[in-house]
Amino acid sequence: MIRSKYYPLIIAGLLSSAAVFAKTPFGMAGCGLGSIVMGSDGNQVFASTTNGTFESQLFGITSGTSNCLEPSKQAALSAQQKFMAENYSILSKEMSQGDGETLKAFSNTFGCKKEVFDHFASLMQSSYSQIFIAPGSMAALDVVQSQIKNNPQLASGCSLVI
Amino acid sequence: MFLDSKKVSGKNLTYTDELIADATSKKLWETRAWKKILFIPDRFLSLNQKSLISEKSFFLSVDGKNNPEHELIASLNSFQESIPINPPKDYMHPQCKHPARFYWLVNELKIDDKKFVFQKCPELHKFIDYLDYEGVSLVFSNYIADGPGSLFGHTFLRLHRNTNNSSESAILDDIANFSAFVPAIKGLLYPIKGLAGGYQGRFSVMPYYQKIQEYNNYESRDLWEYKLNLTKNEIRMLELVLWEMGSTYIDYYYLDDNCSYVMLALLEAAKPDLYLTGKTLIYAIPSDTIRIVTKTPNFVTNITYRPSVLSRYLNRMAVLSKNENNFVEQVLSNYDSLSSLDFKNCDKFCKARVIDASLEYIDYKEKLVGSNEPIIYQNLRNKLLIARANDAVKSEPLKNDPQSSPPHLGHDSGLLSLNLGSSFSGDVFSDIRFRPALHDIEANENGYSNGLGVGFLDTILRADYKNSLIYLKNFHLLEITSLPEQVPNIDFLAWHFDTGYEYGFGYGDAASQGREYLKLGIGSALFGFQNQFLLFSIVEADVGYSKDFGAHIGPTVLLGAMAKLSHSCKIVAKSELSKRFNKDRNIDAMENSLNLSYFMVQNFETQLSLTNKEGVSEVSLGLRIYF
Repeated sequence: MIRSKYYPLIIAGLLSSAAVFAKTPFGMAGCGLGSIVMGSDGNQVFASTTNGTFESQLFGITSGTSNCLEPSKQAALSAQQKFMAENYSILSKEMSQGDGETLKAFSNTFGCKKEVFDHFASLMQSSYSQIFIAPGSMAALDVVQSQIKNNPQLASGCSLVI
Repeated sequence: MFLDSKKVSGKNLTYTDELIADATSKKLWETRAWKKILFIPDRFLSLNQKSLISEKSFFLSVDGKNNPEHELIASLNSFQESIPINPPKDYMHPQCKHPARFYWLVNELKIDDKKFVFQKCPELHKFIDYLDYEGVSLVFSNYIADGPGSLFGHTFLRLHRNTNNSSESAILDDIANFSAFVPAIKGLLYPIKGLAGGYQGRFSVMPYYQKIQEYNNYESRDLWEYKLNLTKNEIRMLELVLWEMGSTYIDYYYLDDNCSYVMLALLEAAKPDLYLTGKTLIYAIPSDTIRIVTKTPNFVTNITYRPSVLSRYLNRMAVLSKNENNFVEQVLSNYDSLSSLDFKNCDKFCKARVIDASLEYIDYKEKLVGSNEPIIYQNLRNKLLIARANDAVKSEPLKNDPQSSPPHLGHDSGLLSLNLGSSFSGDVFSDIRFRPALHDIEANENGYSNGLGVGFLDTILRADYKNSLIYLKNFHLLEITSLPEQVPNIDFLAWHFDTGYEYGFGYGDAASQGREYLKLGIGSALFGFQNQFLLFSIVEADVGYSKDFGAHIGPTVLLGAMAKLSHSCKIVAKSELSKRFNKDRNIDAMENSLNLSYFMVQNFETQLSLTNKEGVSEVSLGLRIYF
């Protein structure tokens, strides 16, 4: 179907101008679509039927990627905010349990290396009461950020601490 | 139009003429890859070359929807167009708008970038750079414990950022979904419009965690992921096709041009040597499309299970001791007074297990997603989380036993069966049964559920050899059976709905009359021996109309038992007692049946049935074929 002799060349050409954009290490969390589907505070309940969908759900490709590619720290911050808001209930559970795949992904939004995850998870667990003392995901994120910043091991092991 | 552009860019057009001549000599538009990029599916028993895309502007030639040749030539012409001096606000050059076609043609015709202007497409570059996927899985969302309608399932694609299939990357992956855009206010015509293509179906790309929350946590459906064998180039093609599809739409038909069918068309566009769309019949049921994909040789490389919140709860409960089980019950019934619970003989690890199970229960009950707060259990959940964090115990890894059966193991959704039987008095008959969808509790529950059934347009014709006549014996327009399995601390209601026509509905003259009816009932189901044994009872309200007897109403009691004797053998006994009243008189009805099924292979089953209807006994042997 696609002749490999030419294809990598074309794709390389296609991508050359894209190299100027910072490559973000996390998923689509920073993008417009998530905020649209979930509501800006992440508080919108899924109104789901098997094959139905939400009217507000726009096509992420054409409408939602432009705000993914801000300078890396700004992008990281908005990714952390969205990730926290959209996974708040799961994160609260996994933080109290000191483990979990959503917590792993969350550590990823801070650019944390794999090796420091166990440390990250136990810090989140021991700081649980402080993190969730005020209601709402933004307040919780503030505490998470300062906890990471004040922890020497994480401050050096995580590259996207705001 | 062509003459005008000739004046503007004569040099390019000459080369374009060469390219068109080359494409014509190769008859490129007849290649499968080109048709697949245009979303022309292989229709079952049809040579019609019609694209699925409904939006006219997707096609660059007037008859492009039906004519791949015109579309190819029009595409080549438009790719050499220069950018207008004052482009409209949303202007996108055809090369940028249709990159899948463009790069395919560049490769096929070896288009020379010295003779042909390659446009810059910054938006497309951003998109491709952003996606950069390394793997693709077809994901099936399985049924809900007490939702028979969900047996049909839903499919979408998971787009892996990492090649390794470890679960930790799932949260950061994306998915591509195709779904109908239904207005928030649906209106009365919603079901009709859904069936008749009244809504636009569109692709969307979104973080996988949103779908995980929607299906695993909100609807409590297990997800089954089928990792597909696609090369990096094929995945890149998929990305380009998604870009092209992103700005257009397909009229959404619930039965055929639905999520699952379009996913097959998308996979064919990425890898044209796949033959998937042609294997669906008139309608495309999601679980059928999973079987089509899994039966394609060397295409599925790995199958992964992702448990729903209810399945996680069951797995957490499965490792608890009796003592710990009691603690869960106490925690959940004591709401606010966690502190009053003395975790006697329960160390911090035991306490962690109890809390972990309780948390899954709460999250299931509250359908907790996003940053929603629990309503009933808010206080308790907060207390449990704090207590859990304070003990500083790391959760034991979740025992990940699948609580549902993977859909690729299920029988196909259409049923054709033939029975040969005889009454005890020696009258020989044949029953021919046809049901387009989907499953009943007598069938093999592999890939389905033990206690859920949905029958749609289920039709049984009887050939009576003694009287040399064929008549309609049963017609179930829609029959739904829900006998959910037991879950600790959760009560599911068993229920049954049936509407249709039956021949013979009581003793006496009613035995040789037909009636239309509607039944709805609730009851309870009791499972035992690892869900291998089931007892159920349902009390129903039954309304019906017969030409001779007239309108009638009455209660029905349905009692049943199911025992799974081995992995390929099942026995189901049912007894139905009814009383039908109308203004003049009443009629009794009784039907008992015993059904022994033997499952030979995935799509073949034999059945031995013994029935007694209003005192007339008959025995029959039949073969069920699923397609």
